[in-house]
Amino acid sequence: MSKIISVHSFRGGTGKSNTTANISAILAAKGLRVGVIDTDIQSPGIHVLFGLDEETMHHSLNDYLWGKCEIQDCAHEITENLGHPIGGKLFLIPSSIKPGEIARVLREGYDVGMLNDGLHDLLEALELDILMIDTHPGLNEETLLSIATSDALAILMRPDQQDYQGTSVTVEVARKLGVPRMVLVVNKTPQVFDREEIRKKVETTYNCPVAAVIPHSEEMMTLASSGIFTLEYPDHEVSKLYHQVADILIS
Amino acid sequence: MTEIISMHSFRRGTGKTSIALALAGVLAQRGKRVCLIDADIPSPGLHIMLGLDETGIECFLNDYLEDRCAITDAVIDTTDHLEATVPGRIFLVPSNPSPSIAMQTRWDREAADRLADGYYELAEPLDLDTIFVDTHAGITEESIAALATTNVAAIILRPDQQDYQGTALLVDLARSLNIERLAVIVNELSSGYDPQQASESIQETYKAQIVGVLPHSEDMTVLGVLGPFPLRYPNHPLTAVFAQIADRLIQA
Repeated sequence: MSKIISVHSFRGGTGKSNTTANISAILAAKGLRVGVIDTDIQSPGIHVLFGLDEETMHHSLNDYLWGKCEIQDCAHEITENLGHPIGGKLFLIPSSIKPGEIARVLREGYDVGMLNDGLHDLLEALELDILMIDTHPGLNEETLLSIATSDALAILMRPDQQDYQGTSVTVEVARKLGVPRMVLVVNKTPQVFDREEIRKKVETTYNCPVAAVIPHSEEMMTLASSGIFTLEYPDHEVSKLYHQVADILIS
Repeated sequence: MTEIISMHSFRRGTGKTSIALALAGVLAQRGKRVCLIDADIPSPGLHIMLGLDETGIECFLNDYLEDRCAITDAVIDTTDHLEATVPGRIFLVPSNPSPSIAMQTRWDREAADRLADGYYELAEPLDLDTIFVDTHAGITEESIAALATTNVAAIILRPDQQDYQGTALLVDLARSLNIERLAVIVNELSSGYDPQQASESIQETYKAQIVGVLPHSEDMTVLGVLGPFPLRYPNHPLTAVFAQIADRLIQA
């Protein structure tokens, strides 16, 4: 296959890491070789969902960006970490959680072109069917490049005032960058909202298909990023919606 | 003396900005004169929450930081636009929402110094009781500038695994920058958990004072976030928690 899928949002706290982690697990469960890369260097978090910590993280994306290793050396095979048997393979390229290293990136920045090359190197070296990019929120040089490189883009938003405004900017930019497939995912929707109404409103506002309107879930909150929701609660409505989004992204 | 409080969180979406606005509302209702500074340069949100149209704004925090205007030129008195009448006042120094401007704004040493000077240049003429400085989440230039220039830091987190580790880093950073007081606010506690227990366990983890635990409530989204929540919903249970946080956070 060989696709790059970016998961993006204008603001943070939309549930991007959880969505990326869940979709990647779903795709790996279909028997695909899936890589996940955490490009949110300032605020890395997806590694937590996969049970990786400072001790178990042998290399990070930062090491590659500082020329210390090849990008595939930073890949951690986490298929076993999921704790459920799945047919495919799952790899994570995490961002460093050492404060000194985060600070260093903040101070020095990094070569965005190098990151972009790295994405393609990963696809090849690990023979990936899918590479999912958990991006930094907002529009900046790094996220623009990720979006431009992607075959598919899922833009996450919450149904609130701040997200509505910022997402409109993001959709416009993504359109100009010519992403082949772009969908919106409305997440953390209050249970009292009419989801069909939200879907229609968002689709017409942005003239972009909505892959799913995901309700806020107490179980998700309680899980609190300590694991992969779709594996823990496979029959939950939210899991089904994640499956729906996954199918749309790879179709 | 004007109390200057910076609002921080390691991760985004913790509710930092809504909470800053809610606290400003509580204080304004008590007759206090409060100023909010939107130092979240990459993703400003206070003007949106206050329903302000940025096209009418001439001078932003960004302009002040780059020495193009005085900070008093960038202040907006939002009090009369609020839903409820309050005896106090809520002022805002907004940040420019234009992505290209935001990307250009540099947080160098001069900017941080100007931010610090800015607090005092506002405090006197506006006769302020409290200044809240909203920052960009994470260990960022904004958060470091704020920690280095304010006396009190309020760190907000959600009880989620992704928050815990990073919050520890933020707490350490605040302490290494010699912050006078550190207060932690827990937001979005799931209904299954006991706030008291959550408070004790998080207090133990960070060895910092928990000034409030806000339960998850769909009402903040459903009822709309325009304006400070406590002013619109004075009898809501969340408002009582905001009042309690204000009591514990504000020493003056």
